Amino acid sequence: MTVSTIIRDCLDTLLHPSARYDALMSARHRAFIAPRLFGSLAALAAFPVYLAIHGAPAGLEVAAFAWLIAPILLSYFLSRTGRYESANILSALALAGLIMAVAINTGGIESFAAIWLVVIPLEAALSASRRVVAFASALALGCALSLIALNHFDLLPVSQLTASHGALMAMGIASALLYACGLAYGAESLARTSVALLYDEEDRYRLLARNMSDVISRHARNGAVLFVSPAAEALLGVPVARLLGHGLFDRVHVADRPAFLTALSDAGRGGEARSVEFRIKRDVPRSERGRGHAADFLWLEMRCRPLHQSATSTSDAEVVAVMRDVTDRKEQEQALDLARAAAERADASRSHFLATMSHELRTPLNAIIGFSEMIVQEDTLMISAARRKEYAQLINDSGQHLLSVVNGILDMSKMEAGNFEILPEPFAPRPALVNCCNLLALKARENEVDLVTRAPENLPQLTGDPRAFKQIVLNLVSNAIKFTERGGTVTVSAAIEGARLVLRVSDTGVGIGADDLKRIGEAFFQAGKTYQRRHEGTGLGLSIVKSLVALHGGEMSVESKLEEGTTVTVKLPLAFTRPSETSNIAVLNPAQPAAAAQNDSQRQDDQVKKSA
Amino acid sequence: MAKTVLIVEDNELNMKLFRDLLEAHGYQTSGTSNGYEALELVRKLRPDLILMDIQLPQVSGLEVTRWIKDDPELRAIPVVAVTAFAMKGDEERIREGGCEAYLSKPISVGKFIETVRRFIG
Repeated sequence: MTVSTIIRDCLDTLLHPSARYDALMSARHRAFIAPRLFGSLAALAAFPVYLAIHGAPAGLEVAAFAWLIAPILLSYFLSRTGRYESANILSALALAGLIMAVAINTGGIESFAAIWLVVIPLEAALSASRRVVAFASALALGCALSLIALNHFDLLPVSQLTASHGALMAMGIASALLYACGLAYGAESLARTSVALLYDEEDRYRLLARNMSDVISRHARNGAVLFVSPAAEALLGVPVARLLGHGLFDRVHVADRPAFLTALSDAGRGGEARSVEFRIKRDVPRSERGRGHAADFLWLEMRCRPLHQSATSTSDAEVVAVMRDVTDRKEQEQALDLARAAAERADASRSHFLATMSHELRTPLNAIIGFSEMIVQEDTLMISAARRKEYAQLINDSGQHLLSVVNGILDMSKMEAGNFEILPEPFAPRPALVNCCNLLALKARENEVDLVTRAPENLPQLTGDPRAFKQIVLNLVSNAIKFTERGGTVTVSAAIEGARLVLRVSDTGVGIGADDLKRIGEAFFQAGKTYQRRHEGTGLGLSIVKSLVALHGGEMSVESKLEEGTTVTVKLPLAFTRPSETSNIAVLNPAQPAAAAQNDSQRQDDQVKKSA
Repeated sequence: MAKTVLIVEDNELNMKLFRDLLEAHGYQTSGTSNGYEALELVRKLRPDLILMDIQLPQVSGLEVTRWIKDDPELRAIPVVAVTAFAMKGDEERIREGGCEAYLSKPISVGKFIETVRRFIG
């Protein structure tokens, strides 16, 4: 530890608490206290030496030395109160008093002490206070003028000086010069301190600005960018200069521009902080380019507040804004929204499915229970034998329908649970196809629908589950018949494409709306409104087909246009292969937008169901 | 004179059941499976009671009921919903739709007749 640091530490303990935390202020306080303290102490220490050389001092000499205690008292005053300006003024007064006392007794303005009057304003200059400087200057001038006046009117007492005037003059000038030099050093040191502090401050801000990912910008009253921090360059991939003026605004997503401007003008006018989230175009750095697009959008959150928060001004103020990249958060929010919507949709589908299921089971049960109750009450209702037989037949029909509904539900839930077993074996697809079409020929005739089968004789053998194949054909064809108006045509065709059998079922029926087409075949999905009657059934037909096709490693696609008809295409591999993953339904040809617009009125007919 | 019941029901078997049941109890019946036709029949026949299925082709039974209840001349005719919608909340929704009574399928013959009698004796 050097002597200077020890002294510095000692001085620091003398600082008033109010000055301790401001570096420049404490430097000033130190610069005030140090010279006074050490000067006084040195002078007091010199007093005995003076006595030893000169012998008993004159009254003036004693007074002068006694006066040297005053700076110690001033240092104490500053240390206790922290009142820097008062301390400086008192110091100037004390110095002036000493000089005047010595000068009056040693020849007025011609005294060796008079030169010290110059020191008074110099000392005040260190205070960096205009009031102190003005006071000290006036004081020094006043002192000088009064000395001249005293000289002029010969009011001075007889000089008590014994030493020669020349020697004393030299001593006075030399000492004043020395003191002035000390002051000059002090001033230089203070200036350096303040410049260093300024640099420190600037460095700190520069460090912040350089390392902060948030962008700070200043906006004019019309929203134009006056300043934007360098962080914008890293964020948006464009030089800062290109964001000035309306450069930033031009990058804001068109849909978000009103909100962006509103936030800025509200902040400027309302005098309160505003926050806004908006999308902004980012230029993709050259290294990331070549992957499709040259620009993408970031989500930014901008908080802006007026720059001059004066309560009196009514005009718009400039606005300072802090922008932060919130793209990740936004993406998470969007992903969450999507997931929530999907979950809600699945839940709605499930409820819809349950309601439909319940409805489809209750409808045949109503006939079964109703007719059987009538038979039970045959006496009171006076039911003839022929009627009884008819009712028994009706009960039987309803029971059969109920059974098919139950089977459909079972098949579906088996496949949903993943334990529907596929038993692959080689079989000829053509006879299976023709067989199914024959089964449905009666139904087609009832509905007055033409059923056309086009299958070449030379279709090769297919390895797969024949039961599943028949089910696929039955479901597709009965669907097609059901949704085709009287006089329409259902065409079933089979062909070979590569190593796959392609089965196409086309109808000239009502078609499926674009919205419903996207979801057709989704588990539990059934198009249409709950209370509107569609074609009867469970709504499981196409779901079952889709699952069966997937279990065979095949593909199913649906093309449809409202009012024009629907074509379902199923592609099955000729050689059965266990599927690695369930294939998804592909929508090849969605309905025209114009047709989709009318689909509300058509929706009740868009349902796809299992054959009853 | 025998009271007339209009049956709006799109399932043929259920239509036959309701017709036979009501006729066995001495009511006159008239039926349709179509909501628009139902409204026309109500205007033409002025039945004493309407049995309304809710799920119908083209237009739902709830809609038809609203039309009837919106018509000051037809409003007084009681509408009994007979529907396979028997999930939680269905009865409330259907009663709010303006139906005077609600019977869920499968019906009980006794309760069915009793409900009809309650309205038209």
